[in-house]
Amino acid sequence: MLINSIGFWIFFVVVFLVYYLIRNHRWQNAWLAITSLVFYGYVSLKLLALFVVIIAIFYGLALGVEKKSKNSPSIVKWLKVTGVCAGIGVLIYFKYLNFFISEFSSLLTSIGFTVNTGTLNIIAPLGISYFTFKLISYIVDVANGKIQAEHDAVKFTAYVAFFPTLMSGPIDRATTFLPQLEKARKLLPSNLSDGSLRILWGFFMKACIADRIAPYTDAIFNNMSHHNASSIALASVLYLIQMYTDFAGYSHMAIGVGRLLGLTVTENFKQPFFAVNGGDFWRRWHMSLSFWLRDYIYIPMGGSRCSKLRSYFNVMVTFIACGAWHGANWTYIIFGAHHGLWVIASRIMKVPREKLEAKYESLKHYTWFKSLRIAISFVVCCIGAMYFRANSISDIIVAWRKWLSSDWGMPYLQATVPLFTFGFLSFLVMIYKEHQDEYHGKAHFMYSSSRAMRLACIAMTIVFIILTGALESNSFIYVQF
Amino acid sequence: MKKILINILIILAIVVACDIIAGFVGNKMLMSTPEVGTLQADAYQAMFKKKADVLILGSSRARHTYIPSLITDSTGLTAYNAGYDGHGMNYALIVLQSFLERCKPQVVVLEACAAMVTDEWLNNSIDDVKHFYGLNKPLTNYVKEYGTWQLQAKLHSNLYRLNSTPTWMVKARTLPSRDCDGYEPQYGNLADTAIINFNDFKTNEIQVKCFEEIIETCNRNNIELLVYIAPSLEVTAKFQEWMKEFCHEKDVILKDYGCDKFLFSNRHQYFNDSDHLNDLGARILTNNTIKDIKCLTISR
Repeated sequence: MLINSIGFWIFFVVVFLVYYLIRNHRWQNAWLAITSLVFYGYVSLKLLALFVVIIAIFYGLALGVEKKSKNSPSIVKWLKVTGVCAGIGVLIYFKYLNFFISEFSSLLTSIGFTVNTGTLNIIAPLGISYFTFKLISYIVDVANGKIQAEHDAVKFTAYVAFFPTLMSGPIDRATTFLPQLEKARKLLPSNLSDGSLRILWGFFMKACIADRIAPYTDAIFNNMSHHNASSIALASVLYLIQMYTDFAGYSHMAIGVGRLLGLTVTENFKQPFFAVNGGDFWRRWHMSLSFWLRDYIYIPMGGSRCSKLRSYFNVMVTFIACGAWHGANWTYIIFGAHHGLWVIASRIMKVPREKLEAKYESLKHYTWFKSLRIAISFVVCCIGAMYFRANSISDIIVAWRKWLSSDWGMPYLQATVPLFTFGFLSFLVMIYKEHQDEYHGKAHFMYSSSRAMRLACIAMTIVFIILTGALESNSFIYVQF
Repeated sequence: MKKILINILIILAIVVACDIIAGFVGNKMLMSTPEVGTLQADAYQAMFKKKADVLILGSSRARHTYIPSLITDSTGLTAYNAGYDGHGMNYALIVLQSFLERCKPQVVVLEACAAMVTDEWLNNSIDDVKHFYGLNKPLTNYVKEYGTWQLQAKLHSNLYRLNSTPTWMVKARTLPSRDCDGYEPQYGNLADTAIINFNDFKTNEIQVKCFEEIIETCNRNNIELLVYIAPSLEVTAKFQEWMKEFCHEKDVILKDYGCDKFLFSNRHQYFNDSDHLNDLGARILTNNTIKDIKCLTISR
């Protein structure tokens, strides 16, 4: 039951109506917890019990941490380590164990041992990467005294299993989400309009851009050796746009649904295509994950308050973890390493750039200089997108071989008419909106101060989506993680 | 809250107005689609315009394989190729029923492949021609009988029905008009004739029902039905066995070139890709089809 399916919206309407009929916040939380678990059970009934057990373990661990926090810091430390290890352990077992087995087996084979280890039949619970990160950050925050342990099991379940963000994030922090559940939520006109507009914009990004691009990128990346360098380059550019519009589209919808329920969900994107360097990009792209990695991996390792070399090492570890979070495939590790190197390169380049800007004061104000930096960042991201989408390392090698060879010609353009008409038009609309958001604030399209303009834009967006969007999509890129 | 409700009503009114206008303009444009040889324009011809003595039905394997002009030259019968890429038995049935509203073909050549009777193409077939819902009776009846309630609900909207239509409609109107017989030649040459075997095969109830209905319609209207499996390097043995049994049970003539050992085996020069013949291969197969058509029409 994906967020863009009719089934989800029928489910949501029922949740929404009952939710606002209840005036008491405890009952509202209970309703959220029950419906979230029903949602989880509907999608994956077999793993519902496991999900509940995991929530219960972390709930108990946090209470234990709180109980011992005053007199037994060593026990608190052990409980914290246990929580973190439990979270990582669950992730490793369900997401990476088969990968480790097969890699170990091929390693043994490569050095001359004949092994037939096979693989385990493991089905990863839905949204495992998201809820384990929520739980790890929760237990760490409780142990570090940032928040108090949640005593209300229902409220805690409503936080962890909150259905709009369950499958694909954003990864909400307990520090910002739990306090919102402490008072009754009322149906406010501002929440209703803001939430609806976010959902509509999310639909637009998903149906009119991401799903228009998908057939093209699938055709190229699933058959890379048959395509020339320019087709792979074009597919890499398009895949970056697809990744963004698919995931940001989902995030907008999840945030919008949260808003309709009177809850503020963490933002996940902030105009990433206007980033000027690696660090800037990760402050705009999948923010709930990048800030999580910053707070729970990078900073505990020493962050940048250490030697330069050590801080570069910290960056690399953080980004490789970021890549690995996406899944058990070397391509994700390469994706992470690529971004890590980019962030390090951006830091190294910072000093000479600042010197240059100091020498030529006007450089700071030149739009072309900023545009150049944005363009370079975009190209680096496109290469990263290729690593991310490639099915295997050999595909990455194929791509680079073709790019470095003379195999450049006309790109593959068959069966792409809707992509290069509606998809391109929609992309221009999105870039215009993001440009306005970045430099002029929200006062355009559906947020115009003129009521007539606003209503016309909303109606036209609905018409445009139904008339030109790819409406039969049944997947989101980030749901698989 | 009252203001929001009024806003919602205004937005709804604009959307409904756009829906009505789009439906009116869309229908006018759809029903005047020129004959230009694109897939969608050919679907319009097959569903609303063309008449022929020999009707060829099927997927891309039909579209790129059977040459109507050769059939006409050899038999004197008019022929039309209504094959559509990635479409199953349900589409073939809709086209046959649409044809019968205009004329009665003497022979129907049905090119079958595994995907046509599984659920692989079940939704494609309707999705690609859903803009004709309400305009084409067989399609409308099919959706009412087999379509999900979600699809039936969504098709109440003209905007949804016309989803993605403007792109091909604009393209069709920019191309020069020409007489088309539905055949689209391919001129590629496959380098290697390695056979790819597929093991998965599970029939879809609706597609099989549509296949049965094609057979019954042909029997009821005294139309000769020839079922073909064109040569391919992508072999689904289970499908071929199933077809053999099914056609035997229904007393239908089946010509299975999927198991061909003489004409096409190891002859890569006849293939455009592993699943489609090129123009050279298409001419050879069409000549064989002509022999079968001649046998059938003489015996009538």
